[in-house]
Amino acid sequence: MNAMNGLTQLHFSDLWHVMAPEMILVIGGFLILVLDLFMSKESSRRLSPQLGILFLIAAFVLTIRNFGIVADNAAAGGDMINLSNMLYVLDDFGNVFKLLFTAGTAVVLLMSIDFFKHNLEVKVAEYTYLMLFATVGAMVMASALDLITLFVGLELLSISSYVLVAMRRNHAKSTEGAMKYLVIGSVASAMALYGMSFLYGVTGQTNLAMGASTMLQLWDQFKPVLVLGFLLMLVGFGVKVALVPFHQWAPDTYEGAGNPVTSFLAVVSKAAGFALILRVFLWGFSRVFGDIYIYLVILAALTMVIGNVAALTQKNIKRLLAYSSVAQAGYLLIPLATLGKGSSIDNIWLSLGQTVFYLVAYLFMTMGAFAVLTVVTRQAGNETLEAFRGLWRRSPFLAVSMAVFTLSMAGMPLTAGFVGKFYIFLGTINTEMYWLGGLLFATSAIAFYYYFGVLKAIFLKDSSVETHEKIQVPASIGVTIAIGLIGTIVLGVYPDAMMKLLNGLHWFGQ
Amino acid sequence: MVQNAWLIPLFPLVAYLLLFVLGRRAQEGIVTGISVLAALAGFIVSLLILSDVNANGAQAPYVFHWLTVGQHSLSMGYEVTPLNAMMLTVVTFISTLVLLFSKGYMHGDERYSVFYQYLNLFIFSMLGLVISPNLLQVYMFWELVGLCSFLLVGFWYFKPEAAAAAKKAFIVTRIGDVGLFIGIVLIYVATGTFEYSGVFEAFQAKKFAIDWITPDHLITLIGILVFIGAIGKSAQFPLHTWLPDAMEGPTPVSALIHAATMVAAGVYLVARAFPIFEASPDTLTVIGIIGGITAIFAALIGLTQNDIKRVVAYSTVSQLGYMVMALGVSAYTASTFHLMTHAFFKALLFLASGSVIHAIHHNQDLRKMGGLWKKLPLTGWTFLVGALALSGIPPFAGFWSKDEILLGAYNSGHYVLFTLALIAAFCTAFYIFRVFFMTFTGEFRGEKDVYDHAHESGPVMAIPLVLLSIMAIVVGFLNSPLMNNAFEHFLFKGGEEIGNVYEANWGMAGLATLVALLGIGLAYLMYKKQSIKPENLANGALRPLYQLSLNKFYVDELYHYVIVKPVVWIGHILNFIDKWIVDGIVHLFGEGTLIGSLGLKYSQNGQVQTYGLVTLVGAVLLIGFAMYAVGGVK
Repeated sequence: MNAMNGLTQLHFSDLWHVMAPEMILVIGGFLILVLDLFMSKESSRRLSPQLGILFLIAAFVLTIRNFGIVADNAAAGGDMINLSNMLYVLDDFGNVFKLLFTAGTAVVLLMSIDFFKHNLEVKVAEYTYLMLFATVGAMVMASALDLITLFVGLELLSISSYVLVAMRRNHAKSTEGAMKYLVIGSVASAMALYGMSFLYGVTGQTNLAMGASTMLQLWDQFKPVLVLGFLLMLVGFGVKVALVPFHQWAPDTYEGAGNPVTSFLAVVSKAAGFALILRVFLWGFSRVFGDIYIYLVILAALTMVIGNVAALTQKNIKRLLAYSSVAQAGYLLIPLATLGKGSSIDNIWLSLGQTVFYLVAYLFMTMGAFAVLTVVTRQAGNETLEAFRGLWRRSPFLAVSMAVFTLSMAGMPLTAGFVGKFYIFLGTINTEMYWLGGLLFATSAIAFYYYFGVLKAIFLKDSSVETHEKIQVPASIGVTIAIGLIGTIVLGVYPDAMMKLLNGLHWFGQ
Repeated sequence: MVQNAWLIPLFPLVAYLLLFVLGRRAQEGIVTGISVLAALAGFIVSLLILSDVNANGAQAPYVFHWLTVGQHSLSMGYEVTPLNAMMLTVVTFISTLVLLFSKGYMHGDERYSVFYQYLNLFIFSMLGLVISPNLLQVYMFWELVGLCSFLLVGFWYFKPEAAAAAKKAFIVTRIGDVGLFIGIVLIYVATGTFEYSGVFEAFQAKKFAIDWITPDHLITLIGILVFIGAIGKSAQFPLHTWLPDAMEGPTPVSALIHAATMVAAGVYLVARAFPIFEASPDTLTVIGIIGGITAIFAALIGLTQNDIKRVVAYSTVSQLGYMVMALGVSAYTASTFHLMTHAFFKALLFLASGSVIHAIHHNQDLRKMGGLWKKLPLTGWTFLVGALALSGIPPFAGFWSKDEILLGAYNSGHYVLFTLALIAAFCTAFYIFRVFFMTFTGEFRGEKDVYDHAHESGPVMAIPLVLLSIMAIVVGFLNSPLMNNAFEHFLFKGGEEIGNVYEANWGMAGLATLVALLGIGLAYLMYKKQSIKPENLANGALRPLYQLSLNKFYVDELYHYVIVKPVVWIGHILNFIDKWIVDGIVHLFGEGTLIGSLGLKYSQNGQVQTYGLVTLVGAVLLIGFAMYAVGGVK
């Protein structure tokens, strides 16, 4: 094998061994694409999402299988399972994120079934296979170790997402959102690629595993160039996960996209962005973290403060959730930033655990909130806070669910959101970055204010509401909400099982 | 059966949630039905558990892992010991009756359903506290109990006295809670665990992770801090002042607070965590003295009060003093036994007083009662049973348990405490029969109209009274030589004996009975035969003493001038600083935040060019800062 070449002959069995979930989704996507040509329009509309969910479940199961493979390999003391000289790897870091992506996308498709019924202009088969391809892109972002492959994954996710946002063709806001996302997203991609080129220029490697040691040797000599490369990548990735000040596309795009697509962007796409950030920065920069963590701290602080403050005056509920999702990105950046004060291997595992725990909690509460939002705003005919007024009388189930989700986002004890935030907070205490932990708490306090606005609208008696019509909840939406509720409360009341699971992972294959 | 103990607190919790969902407009019958059924189900499960424990003894707690943070791990769970099996049974039994009784008492109240919600939550909290296997969980439920009592005492919040009483109850018990909290934190720091078993082991081994204090002193310090919590909750001197005021709540609440929940929590905690206190003789002495003082102090105040509920309230304080004193002299069995018997006859006395108050249009002033025996025969009989039990006349329940406490105090050599307790017993018998004679005998001293309309209030109020009367008569036999001290054998089933146990002493029993009879006799002479005029005593030679007792030894006034007033003054000063300085800063932040938010809104102008520009400027600033920092740009 020629290490410099990086390309070796691959057999199908090797591929299947390492990337079975990705492959099954690609197969599924193409199958839906082909079937659509042969089926009647009605049956395609009906079957495509169901097929999509089926393939996602298959990918989910195959990912679970992969945990076993990684554990066996680690027990046997083998090297990291990889393809083509560490171009693509199989480890629990990737596996955890793949579970998150497949589960998240499956729930999005479940919500979409109802979305299709009310948006007849959306082409269901296209929508479905684009979702699957976007998920594959996300998976690549979590599992590749080569900058070029990572970038391809990023683009696969991004381009699919641009189209998904634009799917409601008769909707001016949808087109507008997609266009803005495309323009800013392209700027981001360009910056990230530019940053990567600096890394390649200095180390002569696109592979993170190979390049990291070279970079460590050359760090002092080429510090400005390498930091520049790091920052450009950070900006590029920062746009994807909507860090302030690279977040401005988010509210417009979130507002324009259909609710399931918005929740996909908020959960799956954002989680993929964090997978990419963690993968690149942990593999490439973990030993020089002391020099670069300050930029992460600055962005985390800015994002928490501005995301939460901007949410205060929002009247549109989707924009409110968009800003809240911006703020969450700030919280999520903290575990990585704390590594600057000590990037021992234990701290890295702890940070990964914190990030993933919060992402899982975030998945449940955000999916649930968007599902509630879908039904409520449709009935009210608008997307403002007014739509939630007196919800308690119209549908106690939706009201209580929404209360649980918003309280969880705000960080109320006994919900998943609290445990997640608390876990991250402990990380800041652990590394003695007290003021960052303090800021986390202070901005959460601001968050309580606007979430209470939602709660107030839901529960307060108000005679000005004309409609007391009961709200009917479609089955697929009801199931989504139930999943969100169960997840939010179980993780909030009994987080230990999940933390134990995370602590037992072989994050990077060892 | 023991593994199902978690069901017991679950029932009232479910009832609470159901009522909450049904809302305040739910029908009274349904509300009561749900609540009583839930409490009854809890009672039945408690009985099953009681028989299981009786057969198999104490079992290991059921603990599940809750949260691991770094090296610290917290767990939650439940446990069943003979002591808490007894408590569960008593609490659920009395709760069932109180819930039933409230149907009559609260009938027609606008917030009927809310009242039941609070009651259910209250019962849930108390049951949760009782089955907690660790101190952290105890503390959570402890606070919840406090919160519920606040809500219930202030239930009629539109009455200023009720609102003030609720506030007082909350604040005064909070003082105790601070002690408890510090105590628990110290325990955790010193032993690394919250679990009773682990803490007890550490206390026995005297191995602690704290080195700034010797182990013996630490044990005393922790014991006293935890005991301060019990002082607040169980209304011991000097934090007893909230309990009599808490009478402002509806009477069923008083019955619950005084008999089964709230105040019992303090004594229960000291009993459950007894090894912590037992490890330090100094702590025990403090506990004994505080208990003794409370017992005599409250009994003296009870002599002169004119509000029927207040007298009963001071009798609770006094009886709690007995229990605490008993623990202080290591008469563990006597104390827990008195906790149980007292629960029954005190609930009985309260519900009977409630029945009286209800019958004469919510009047509580003894001076406007009298001659009600003919009108309220059932209430009269049951009150008499309660009064006899409280006075300690054989064979009623209070006789057996109080006798054991006196015996424990005497045999442990604390003769001063013994004497105090004996005098308190005399006062107890006197004041409760003073109430009895003033209420049920003689002429009615209120308006004639009210008297004519007075009548018994139907089965929902009568059944609890009768059931409690039966219990107040029979429950004392459980630990009598006649039943071979069954309670004591039950209490130590499957575990070690705790504290001292003494053989029954008939001489002591005779002495206690004699003292009680003297008290009753004096009350009879003064308030029935009127051969000694009470007014003559009050205005004659004993006037200063009378005033002292009537005004509750001026403790409230003392607190008002020594603590409340200065604090209020400090408050005024702080308020000034707060209003003009802190508020200004806060306003600055608040306004600033809002203005900032608006500003952000305008920068979000919908132009994608702006977004691109902001992104770029952000990137450039970041890179510029970085280049300056790493020295790339000179």
